[in-house]
Amino acid sequence: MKNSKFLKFSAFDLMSGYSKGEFIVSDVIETVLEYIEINERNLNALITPMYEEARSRAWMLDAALARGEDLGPLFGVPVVIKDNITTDGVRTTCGSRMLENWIPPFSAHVVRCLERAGAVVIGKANMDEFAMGSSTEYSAFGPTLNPWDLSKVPGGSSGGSAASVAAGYAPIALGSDTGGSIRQPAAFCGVYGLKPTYGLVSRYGLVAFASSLDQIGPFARDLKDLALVLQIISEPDDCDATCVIKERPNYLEFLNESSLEGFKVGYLSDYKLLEIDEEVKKAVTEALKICQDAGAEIIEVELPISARYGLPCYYTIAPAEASSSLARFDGVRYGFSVEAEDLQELYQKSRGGGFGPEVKRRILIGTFVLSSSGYETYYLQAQKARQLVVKEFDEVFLKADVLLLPATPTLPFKRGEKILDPVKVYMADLFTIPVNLAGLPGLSMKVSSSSSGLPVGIQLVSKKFCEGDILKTASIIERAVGPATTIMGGDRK
Amino acid sequence: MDITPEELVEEVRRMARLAMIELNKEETKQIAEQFKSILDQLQTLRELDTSDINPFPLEDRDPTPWRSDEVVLWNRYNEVLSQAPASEDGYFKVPQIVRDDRNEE
Repeated sequence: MKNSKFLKFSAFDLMSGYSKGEFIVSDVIETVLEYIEINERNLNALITPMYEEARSRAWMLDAALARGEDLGPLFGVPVVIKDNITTDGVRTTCGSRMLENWIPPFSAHVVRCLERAGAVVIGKANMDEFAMGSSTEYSAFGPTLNPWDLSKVPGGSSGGSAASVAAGYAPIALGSDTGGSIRQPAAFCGVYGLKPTYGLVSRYGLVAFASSLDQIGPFARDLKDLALVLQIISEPDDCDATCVIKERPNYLEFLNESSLEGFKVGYLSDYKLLEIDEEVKKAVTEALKICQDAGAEIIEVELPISARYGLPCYYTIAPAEASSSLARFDGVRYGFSVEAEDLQELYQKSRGGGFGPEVKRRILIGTFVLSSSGYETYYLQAQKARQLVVKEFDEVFLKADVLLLPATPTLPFKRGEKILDPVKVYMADLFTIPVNLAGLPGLSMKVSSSSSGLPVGIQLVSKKFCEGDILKTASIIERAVGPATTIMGGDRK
Repeated sequence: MDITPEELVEEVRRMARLAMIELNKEETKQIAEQFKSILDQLQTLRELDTSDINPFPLEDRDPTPWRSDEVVLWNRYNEVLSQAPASEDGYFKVPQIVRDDRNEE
């Protein structure tokens, strides 16, 4: 394929090429679109590739380039957006039949930020329906495959975003993370994925799943790209009342540090009864060694409450909030609708026909824990348990600056393996969920490859609004293990 | 949780009515089977002593900030209405809710 080098370029590589006049935006976008057209037959990472929109945007940007206008910090960089983040005039399905034909009349704050910076949105990424799932198998538009091994899942729910970045569709993608939906697929696809602190990034235009947990965050193959995108999308926004109005640091500066002297990295010394893959444990040990060699003090920590009660706490609170968030889909104003004799029947038939099985299951669980028979026993108890998780992390961060944990307990699992057992698939988020419950930032990154050639990732977690500490630690690890790489069609085993 | 399979099916039906979701027999049966294993997992939270814990501390700690009350012009109502299955005269259209009984005498 002509110009296939573009598929491996970082955002910074592309911008440097544009400013030196080595190539123009249309060259890059044409290459990317051609590559997507071929690979989508296998990968199914995108629900809606935006061929026409991307081409005309590229021409527009090239005209600006020719006029010598100031180039934005993401000028001409292709980006992929998870399909639960609205794009003005381009359908936004949430991976659901419910929104199969919904065309939002506005773009999310994060999309506006990226476009103002000059980015080219090239497609809307596949996802588990309404972000409920850990394998992208619960999409109404068919599953996404893992580009490293097509028999494996890419993780989820932002599996399409992670697979797009790993496959070279774009150096950058956006996803959303409610219980691990950025970090788990990033680990499974061998790329960087960051869930920012709750309140750092505006969720205006993100279709709500569980509003006390949801955050938007970036995927990238290069840590510098990731930091840059975080800078751009974390611009404060009036339209999300939970978006914190305070100055953001310069995230790129954290990547220049070469030492972790005086820095404390915490790790779980004992996984107790948790079943963790040996290769995951090995990757954690390897990353800890890198931190230690860079001067960090390595300390043991314990998170017994998060480990035992994080999952049941999350699987009470998230469905409860989802049952409320998804009440808006009523078949009246937009989305899937069935003709009916009366209003009640219209609601019931439209919701019954528009939602898939996992979404129905979670709405019904959520309805139960909020009903008079479940409120005290389940919902209120889970809210209290959540406070214990928060307290546990507060205490751990009195001793440690960052935590280095597994991102997922296992390597990417086989397609179809867990889809029939919801409780089993919920285990995939064991290490990511407590981070959402406490509202903390978390990054997952590839550290090594397994004996079978699959990426093995780890997770870094810090105090609220201390993304800089995570980036600093990650950059030290990146220098030792190298940046994430693309897996291209021809490179696959 | 001590509950018979028949009671579980009835509970799932009740939740489906509350959530306004039509389920067919097969779906009801499948969800009822999974309901028990999911609720059993959630029940482990009962082991925790939470007697002194405020479940909603954020309400006191971080009041919601207000944005300034400014008018923003936005005139894409037609696009919004065009997404609806039915609309008339600039309104969303739904099946008739109130009937006039006088004509039915």
